[in-house]
Amino acid sequence: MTDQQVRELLKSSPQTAHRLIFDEYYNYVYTIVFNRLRSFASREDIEECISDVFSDIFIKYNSEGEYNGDIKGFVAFIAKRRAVDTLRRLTSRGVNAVSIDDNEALQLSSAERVDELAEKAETGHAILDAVRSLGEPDSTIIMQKYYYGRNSADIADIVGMKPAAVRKRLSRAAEKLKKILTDMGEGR
Amino acid sequence: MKKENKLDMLENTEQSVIDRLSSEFPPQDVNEKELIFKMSERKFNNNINGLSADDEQTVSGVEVYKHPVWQRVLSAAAAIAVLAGGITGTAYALKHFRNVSDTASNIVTEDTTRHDLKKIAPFGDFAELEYQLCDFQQETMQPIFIRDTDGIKSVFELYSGPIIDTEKREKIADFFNDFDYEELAMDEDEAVGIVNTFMTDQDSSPQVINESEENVPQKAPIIQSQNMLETGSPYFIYCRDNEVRAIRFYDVEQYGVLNYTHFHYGEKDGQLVMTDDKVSVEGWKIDYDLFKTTVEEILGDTPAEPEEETTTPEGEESMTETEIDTGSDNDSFLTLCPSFKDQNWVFSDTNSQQIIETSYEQRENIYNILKCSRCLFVSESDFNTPEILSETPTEHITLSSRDEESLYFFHFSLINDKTYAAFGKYDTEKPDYTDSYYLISDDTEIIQKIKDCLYK
Repeated sequence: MTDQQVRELLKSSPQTAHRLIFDEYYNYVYTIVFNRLRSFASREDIEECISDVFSDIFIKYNSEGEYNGDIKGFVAFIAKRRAVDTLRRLTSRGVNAVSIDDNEALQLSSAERVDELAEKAETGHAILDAVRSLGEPDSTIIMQKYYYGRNSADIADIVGMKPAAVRKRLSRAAEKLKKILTDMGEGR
Repeated sequence: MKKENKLDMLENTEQSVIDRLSSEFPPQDVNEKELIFKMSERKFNNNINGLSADDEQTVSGVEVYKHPVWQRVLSAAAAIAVLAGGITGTAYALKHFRNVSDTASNIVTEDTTRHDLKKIAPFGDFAELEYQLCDFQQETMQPIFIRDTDGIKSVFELYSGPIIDTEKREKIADFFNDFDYEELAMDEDEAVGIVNTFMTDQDSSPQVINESEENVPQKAPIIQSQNMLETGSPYFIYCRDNEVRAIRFYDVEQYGVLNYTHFHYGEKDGQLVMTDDKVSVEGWKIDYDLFKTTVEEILGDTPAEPEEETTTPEGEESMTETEIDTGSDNDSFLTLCPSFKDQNWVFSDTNSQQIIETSYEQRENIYNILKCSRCLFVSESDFNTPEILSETPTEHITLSSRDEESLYFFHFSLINDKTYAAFGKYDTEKPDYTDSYYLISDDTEIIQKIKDCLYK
């Protein structure tokens, strides 16, 4: 469905249009928000944040064409901004202010270092390759368990297996992944 | 999740890795997805209605009041309050839920050119406003506190739901507009008879409606919210710019009642509260069956909303229209027993022939299994099992539980390769009994999964 068709649909049936947009970008938004908040926020906070993102998108992406351009980029921008807002809100009490007169200020460095980011991206791709090499359903089980933090019963429903079978596969797959990652580390 | 593992390195990563995560390893939890969509829609509606996110966050923390049952469903109680007004003439109910027809007449006068030419229902033209079909989702329900009942905190449960498309609204409006409505003011004896009959059905200790103003609130008819809300006829809500209009119809045995509620609300001290002096509630006598079946036919005659499609199982064609339009799903099934995990459920072990208590872990696992299954509402009945469930099941399991007031049971049965779930609640004091039947559409192994949880 084209951008113009979605905008037409927004006029005649806003909720259908919202559903289409939501289905199209849900995984993308979820991944962006979850990736940023995973260690800082509860699942409820993450769900709140994702719903805030879509609420923003529904408001700004309207039939009048208030927003024009690459919708995926637009979605990513809102998702990242909302995730950072949520992160700030959740961690605001934990932030320590540092006086610029303090000696500690001299040791502060930029939060973003290009070389570190590049290395992190490379490692990320390598880990995903390693997980992918496990094959299905092990790769899904591993990611749902260790990345998304779901329990065996939830994963069992996703992969269509019994929880006990999921637990068995999980422990074997985790061992296998550990070996792959260790070999990969040694090979570097 | 908090336990450190290698995959933590994927966190706060570069966009290309996020893109891969999104396409190769998406979240996949269907229930969570639906929950988030509903939250998004609610926030969007609130935003365009002028409620800020902060207002909404405050509202979610609202204190839960223990109301008499009838007060929990103000609109439902109000429908009968109109009847009560007919009985007592100057009764409290009429005073507080009086028929204020200015709202409806406002709508009628909004577009005189259109309305001069055609007959309009006394509560306005249904096609002109974007009415939503109430989905009864507790997660998205917002309580609005009604202040005009002296000394009593009443609450209007503002549900959301999909906006009915224009074509269907026009068809429903044509039907509503053409009907000859009859005012509910009636012969006193007739009204007393109807109300008392209705109260006897709903409450084991019926109260006689008294003209004494002080006594009326406690003696207001009790309406079971479960019955009225979850399995009744379609319930329409319009909510824009802090204005609420609600239309629904009830069967009070001798005839039906169409109830129209209208009021405005705002935010005060972190709560949504009505801002009008009085909540406007009007009622008209209708042919309940005609209204219910006609509206359900109109709502069901074209492809359902996408939201409904996701919960519609393959066996849909075997269901009646009533069954489909009740629109039940996983959430409504589990909300029948929200404290499932905390109740002490027992089951009969077929091997040892003993009654065995479940552990919290078992209950949690069963809850998760149920949460992820797709359910379609079949019927609700009082002691009468639906015909489709009269056959002997090939497999079944029953969980039961009790507290001081009630006995509960969940019964799962596999019949003709279809899994049905029944939830029943028996009130030991009244006595009052209701049960609800659901078809679990996507999982024929659910009984085995539950047994796996119980017998492991």
